[in-house]
Amino acid sequence: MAQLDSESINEVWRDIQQDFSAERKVIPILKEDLKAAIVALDTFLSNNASTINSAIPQPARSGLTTTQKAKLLSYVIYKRYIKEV
Amino acid sequence: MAANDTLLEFSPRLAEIPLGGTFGASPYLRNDHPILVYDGTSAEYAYFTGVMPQHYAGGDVNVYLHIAYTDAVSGTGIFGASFQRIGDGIKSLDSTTDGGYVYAYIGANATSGYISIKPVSLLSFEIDDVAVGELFRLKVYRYADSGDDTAAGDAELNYIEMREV
Repeated sequence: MAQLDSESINEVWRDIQQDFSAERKVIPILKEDLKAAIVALDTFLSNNASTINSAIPQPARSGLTTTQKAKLLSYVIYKRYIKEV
Repeated sequence: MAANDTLLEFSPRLAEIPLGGTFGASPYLRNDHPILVYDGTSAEYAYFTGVMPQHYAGGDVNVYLHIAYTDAVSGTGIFGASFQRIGDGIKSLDSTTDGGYVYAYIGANATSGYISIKPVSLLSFEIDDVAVGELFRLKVYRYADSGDDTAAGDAELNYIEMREV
């Protein structure tokens, strides 16, 4: 998948700031630094999509759609780093 | 009336939020303090209606904004203030013209939860010729969509104080 366009980057940027503000946690960086991080992560995912896909064993790798595999990745990230135990 | 004395004060509870759309700042509580929350990326505003007090001498006006940031401990928010005169048979309630915006850059305090107090300074001709005893509407705006507004996340308006310079 091609990298996100600027409108999509801005949507992520808006959404993440609203999410952070709802949590009332300190953001020690500027808005533009946050956007740079979003762009960098999007670039990383674009450059490493096939590597991530290869990490998924068969039959899931070919049996699941791209969207299903992306959700799988997001659930694992959420459980590892976001959901408080 | 001495220079720099208070003309009027507005609590966030007096905010008049525009109906419909997504342009209005949002009333909220922070540790039970009433606040008005301005989004971090979309420009939002709120109105405050008042009557210019009898002791106003026609001079310049400073609108002091008491601002805290929900998350940011660095960077700057850009806030604007404008006056819309209503008066006695002067301007229709349906009018959208005002005296024009004046801006102030309000930095985030390095400690979360601390307020920064900064004036938006309007010259006497910039308050739309509001005169003593006249109804007016003050619009307070955050230009969160400006590239110069660098403070991440929401900003919180805690109080407004108007003083004559």
